[in-house]
Amino acid sequence: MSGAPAIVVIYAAASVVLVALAVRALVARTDVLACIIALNVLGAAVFLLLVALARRAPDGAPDPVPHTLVLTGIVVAVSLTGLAVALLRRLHDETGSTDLDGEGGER
Amino acid sequence: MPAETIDILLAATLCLIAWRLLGDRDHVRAATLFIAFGLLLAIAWVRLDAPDVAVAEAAIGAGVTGLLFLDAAGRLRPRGDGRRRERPISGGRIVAGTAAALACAVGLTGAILALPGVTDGLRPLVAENVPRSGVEHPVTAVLLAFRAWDTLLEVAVLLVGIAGILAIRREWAVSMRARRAPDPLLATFARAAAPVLVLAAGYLLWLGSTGPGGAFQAGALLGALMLLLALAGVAGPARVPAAVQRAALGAGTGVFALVALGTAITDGTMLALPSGAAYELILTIETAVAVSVGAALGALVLAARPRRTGTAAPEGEEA
Repeated sequence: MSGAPAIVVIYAAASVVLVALAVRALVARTDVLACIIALNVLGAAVFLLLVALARRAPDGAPDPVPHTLVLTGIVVAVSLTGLAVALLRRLHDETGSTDLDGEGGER
Repeated sequence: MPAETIDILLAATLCLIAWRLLGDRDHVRAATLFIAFGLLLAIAWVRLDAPDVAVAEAAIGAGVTGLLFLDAAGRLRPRGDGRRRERPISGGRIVAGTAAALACAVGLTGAILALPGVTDGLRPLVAENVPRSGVEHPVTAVLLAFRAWDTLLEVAVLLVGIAGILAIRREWAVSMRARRAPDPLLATFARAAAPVLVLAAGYLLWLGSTGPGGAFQAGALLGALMLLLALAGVAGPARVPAAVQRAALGAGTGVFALVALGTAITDGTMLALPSGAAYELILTIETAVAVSVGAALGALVLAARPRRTGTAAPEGEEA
């Protein structure tokens, strides 16, 4: 990545850190809502990487195709999150638990 | 000081907020931090010359998603004696998590470093074809002329998501009824803001052909309007029939699919818009998509409200 504009390097580095943080949370935490949030942060990190990489042109104008991909990704992510939260609510309604393995429920 | 200082500070703050919110056991605090994270991310998009993405992120990524989390955080309280919601994180999981995180970080860094530092990407190809697309704005051209198939599927995904949520909740429609007496200040603001929001949404939709804007940004505003009216309690006793709701939700996918079918029949290639009518077709599709996205975003949040007892109706009931 030699010669890349500084802004690209900064946000690409941030996206790597965010991916690492989100993956760690996704694996370590057992609460479902925390995992859904981690999934969203992971998505945001990937979007950040895509848009940062779109800014590598020599004259500074961005490549519009990754912007479109990210726009699509944001909408798909919100659908996914809505569905996941609805499933979580149903799990909670049925068992009283919000744990990945179903622990802590009362039925 | 160089302009990059802002970016370094912004990137560092993003990482700090993410670190804080991912480890937080208090869901309400995590949800609030997520909204802040999303808004800062929107600023990052502006810094990276992605205004279309910035508007979508602020409204949908931070706003609607944050609202979904806040709503869930508020309702998912532990039953009974209020014991700790989440069991203590075992050391094994932390080790596994850290190992996975490091592996991802190393792999991703390697992949990024292997990329060329300076490249035009697909920008030249897009630039030379934009005049033929019917619109002037490159992102809109890619979204609705060059990669229209992806956008059609995206709108369909949103529809399937709503259908799935309603099915899980065992409901047939979404209710905009007030749950409690409306706060007078919020109600006044909602009534004043409603026509402005409609106008702004229409303007953003129109603007999409020549500048940042378009169907999803307009749809986000319409969704915000729907939520504002519902949450402020000014939607009133007027019910939105389930049939109307379904029509609004399905309009985007339906119109888009119709155009796809039409072009497949007349041109042989799906979504190959005829150059004479491309702008009009794009505008029609975008209008339908904006309505659907607005309805879907509103429904996403409103469907999460607690069910009224005994709403499992076998036939379509009114909201």
